[in-house]
Amino acid sequence: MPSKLLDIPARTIRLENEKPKFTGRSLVLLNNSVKPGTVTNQAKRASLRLASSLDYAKSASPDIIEKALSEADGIVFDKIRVAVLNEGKVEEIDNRRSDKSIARTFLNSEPERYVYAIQARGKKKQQTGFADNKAASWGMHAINVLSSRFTGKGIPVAVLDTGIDTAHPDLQSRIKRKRTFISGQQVMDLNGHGTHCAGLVAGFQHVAKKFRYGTAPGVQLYIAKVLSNQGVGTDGSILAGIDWALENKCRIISMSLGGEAEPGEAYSAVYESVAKEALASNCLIIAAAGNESERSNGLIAPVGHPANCPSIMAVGALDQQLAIADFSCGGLNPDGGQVDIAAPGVNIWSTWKNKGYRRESGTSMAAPIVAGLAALLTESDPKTSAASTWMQLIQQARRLDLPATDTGAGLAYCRK
Amino acid sequence: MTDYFFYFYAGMETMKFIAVVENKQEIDRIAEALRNMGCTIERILKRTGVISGQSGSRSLRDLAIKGIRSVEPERNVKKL
Repeated sequence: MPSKLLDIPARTIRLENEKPKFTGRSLVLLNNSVKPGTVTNQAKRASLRLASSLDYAKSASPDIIEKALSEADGIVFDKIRVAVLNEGKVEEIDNRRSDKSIARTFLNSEPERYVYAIQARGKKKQQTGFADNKAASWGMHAINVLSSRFTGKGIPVAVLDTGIDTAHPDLQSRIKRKRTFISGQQVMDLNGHGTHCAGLVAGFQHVAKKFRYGTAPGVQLYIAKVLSNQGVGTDGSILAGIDWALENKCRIISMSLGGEAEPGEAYSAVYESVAKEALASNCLIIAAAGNESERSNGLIAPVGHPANCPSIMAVGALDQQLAIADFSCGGLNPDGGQVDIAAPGVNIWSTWKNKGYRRESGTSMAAPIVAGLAALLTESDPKTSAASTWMQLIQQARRLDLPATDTGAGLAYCRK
Repeated sequence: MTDYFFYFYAGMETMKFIAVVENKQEIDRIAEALRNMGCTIERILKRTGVISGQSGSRSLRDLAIKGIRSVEPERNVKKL
């Protein structure tokens, strides 16, 4: 027992963690309408001598309770109408509760507790993190998708990017429709980025290794080439791609693209109008938050365009320790521009051009993973609205010990 | 004075724009009105009510005609 506790004339009850919980003394709630003098007199009828806190108001003692309790059976705090009684003294009152005036004065009692400063948690235990294994990529493990009985079967999902490797053995059968919005270029992806993102939505298993890396292998892919083979595009081609996806009744649009937003810059009213239209048409637009941060150098860039629109779900990127990725943009701008959710986005395995595979990092990788999860939710309840799917993604996210400005609701997580 | 310079410099170079209309039923009429102002219309997206194109000698402010909810310069975007 710590030596300090020896000074307290009270029994202590210890918990398993060796911190005593009760002092042995009692707190008694006093009737507000009874005058202080009456309290003292009623206590005398119970053979108790109570001091008043007012008597010690000018005391030089730093601990008036200890002083009062050493000189009397208890102390009355007149302002708050509470008395603290020494160990064993509350029984004197309880034994006389048949006396109506005593029962009216002393209302109820409870054991006095020790209280402790809430200790700051020690340094967070280093997480070992997620890793690829024979079954699946680390991202699939992190979002818990392997436990799902859904595959997004039949859900139309549009991927707006650099196109797709239309001959890729993992993706070929999943392409429902495709169209290019880039003048002079076919849908065939000569960049690789679009094929990577499409694989994260719909790629199932590596053809030879049987390795799972796609979130929703049952979806129907609608591929809109809105970025050139050089990986660049314009608002006009992207808006045309969204329009096409809505014409085709896509339930989800995944966009791993964007432009930098300046601090304080407002979101695009045109995109916001289109995104609202999409939600009203039961289509959820999910976009990458942006890669312009250099957090290791103290720089956090605001969520980019068009992910900064309030009606577009902005996705941040996490690494294998579920820490925010160094490059992932943050929710800095006050008018829109928040990060809504986060997903794996570092060292992510997926399909690539020329029937290939490779690892990539970026919020580009996080967005299609969330799009795939949205497809699973849509399959689980096909009549659900896009707004409801958004809400479910947020509600089912795994909370992280990270700022919401970086990861929104947390890690996108499969619970169905 | 400010307007003079605004128009002067705006007239030097055409600007690519995106716009969204208030009423999608009116989009063809509004696009035609923009054409008559000297704009080149590149896309009319009837599902979303978006018009994109080039402003010709007009400033962005000129393009905010009746029926246009919002008009902005077109941005470049890239893969992330």
